Amino acid sequence: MLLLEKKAYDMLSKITFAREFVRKIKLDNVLENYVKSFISWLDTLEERTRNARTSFAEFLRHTNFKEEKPLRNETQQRLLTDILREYEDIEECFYLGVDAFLPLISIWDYQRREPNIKRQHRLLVNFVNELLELSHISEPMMTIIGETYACLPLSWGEIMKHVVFGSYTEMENLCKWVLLAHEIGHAYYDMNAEKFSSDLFPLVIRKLIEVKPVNVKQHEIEAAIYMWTEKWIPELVADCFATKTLGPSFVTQFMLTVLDSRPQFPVLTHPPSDLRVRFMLNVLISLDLPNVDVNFYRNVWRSYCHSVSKPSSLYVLHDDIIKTALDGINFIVQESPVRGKWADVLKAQNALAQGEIPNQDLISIISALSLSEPKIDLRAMYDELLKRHSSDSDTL
Amino acid sequence: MTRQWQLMREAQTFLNVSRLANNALLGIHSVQVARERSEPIDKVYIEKIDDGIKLLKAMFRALEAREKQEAVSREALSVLYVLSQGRMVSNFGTLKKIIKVSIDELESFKEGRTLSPEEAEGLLEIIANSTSEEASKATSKVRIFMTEAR
Repeated sequence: MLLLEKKAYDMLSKITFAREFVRKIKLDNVLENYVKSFISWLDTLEERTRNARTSFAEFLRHTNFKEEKPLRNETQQRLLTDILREYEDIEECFYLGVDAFLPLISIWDYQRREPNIKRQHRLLVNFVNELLELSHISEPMMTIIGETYACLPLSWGEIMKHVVFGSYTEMENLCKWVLLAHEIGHAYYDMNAEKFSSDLFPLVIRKLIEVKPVNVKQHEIEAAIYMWTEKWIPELVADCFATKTLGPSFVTQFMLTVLDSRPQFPVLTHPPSDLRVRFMLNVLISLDLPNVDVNFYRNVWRSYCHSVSKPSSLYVLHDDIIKTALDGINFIVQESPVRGKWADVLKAQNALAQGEIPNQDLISIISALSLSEPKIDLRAMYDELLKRHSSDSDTL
Repeated sequence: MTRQWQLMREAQTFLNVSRLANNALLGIHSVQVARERSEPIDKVYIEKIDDGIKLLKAMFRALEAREKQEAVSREALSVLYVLSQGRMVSNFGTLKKIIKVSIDELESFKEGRTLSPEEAEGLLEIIANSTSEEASKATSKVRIFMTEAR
């Protein structure tokens, strides 16, 4: 067997392994949501691998290629390059869609069954499910206690799925859980990507071109467009989604998380944290929630931000671009579920203030905790919520 | 979203584009090898070239849309970004001309009127190579992160 034929064989073996692995697992309602699309993606990868193998077989037939000596014919050399590149791309696709996903099934299964972690996991799953329900996202999502808050996007052809991660070291610090709203916001973005691409991107691109200084070269403007459309807008959409879902509870914990010595500093992957916080505060104002003093949050943030840094003068942060992007995002992210939930959060907050454990749902309690002073015994609260929401008899 | 997960999405977008461009190259080079040997052309190769034509037409439309500041797909924006980083998009007018010539070349190549669609090959090579390379770079970073996370 030639080297490239062995490669195809190895790739097909991996696909067979993945298929067998999935066939053997016990499906629950969450995994069911992934497995059908995943298998169909395996079919696609198998077909591509078989096609690549056929291309190589045809190549051998036409060129009399032997592994003992390199090709001399230029066209044949190019064809071999194309075939190798196809193999390379399939392997990358396999890594991103299969290698990255398959172990997560085992982790998911472990966390929901293993006695020393299943109750914590169950509580986190309940919280994420409540968040999904509140924001009208009907797709169940795998939730895993991992390293940090994150949303893993899986692209299986036309289908996109997401896996949500909580932070292991912050499992008992319930206040932090509200940060998951931003991660779910990324799934929301992917579900509505077309809308942003068609209704918002052209406006932002127009502004970027309008305000660019004369000495900015074409490759620089393309890089700026790419940064705004592929990186910054998705982040800002997730911020807007989280603010409209959990209101000040999210904003408070977000400010705490991003507080650092360079709040005005833009990076390729994320807009400056000052811009993000200012945006969230403006969204908060538009929500007009009772008993929320947005100026209080604004002053707290400014006291740090304005003390340590000045706004960036980069043209990519021109006011007109920012206004266009943020107004567009705020318009497209229409729903504001926090409005319907806020009364419960206030009730939970009152109960906490009186030293009681609130009777409201998980979201309201965790939102209220996120706004409370650190003196509350979070450990006791965590134990109580574990008792309420994930008793040993519970099953998924 | 963490940076690594952003890269994951980015890699997936680049791979989608790379597949289309590489498919077209496979078609072109397979036809050339067959012609050199005076063998009949399999219609699968022509279909692959048609995929390349579709990709180039989509890019042409994307450039026009960009000029008029209308909506452009994420894939198209990604290709323009990659091409611009290789300094190929110095101005849209030149790139549009190259795309137009490439489409004509491919049509003519299919019918056997052109033996070597050099402009189209060059352009498709750049697209396939640069998107594949970008995807590879992104995936490598994700791999490091995944290993550390585990």
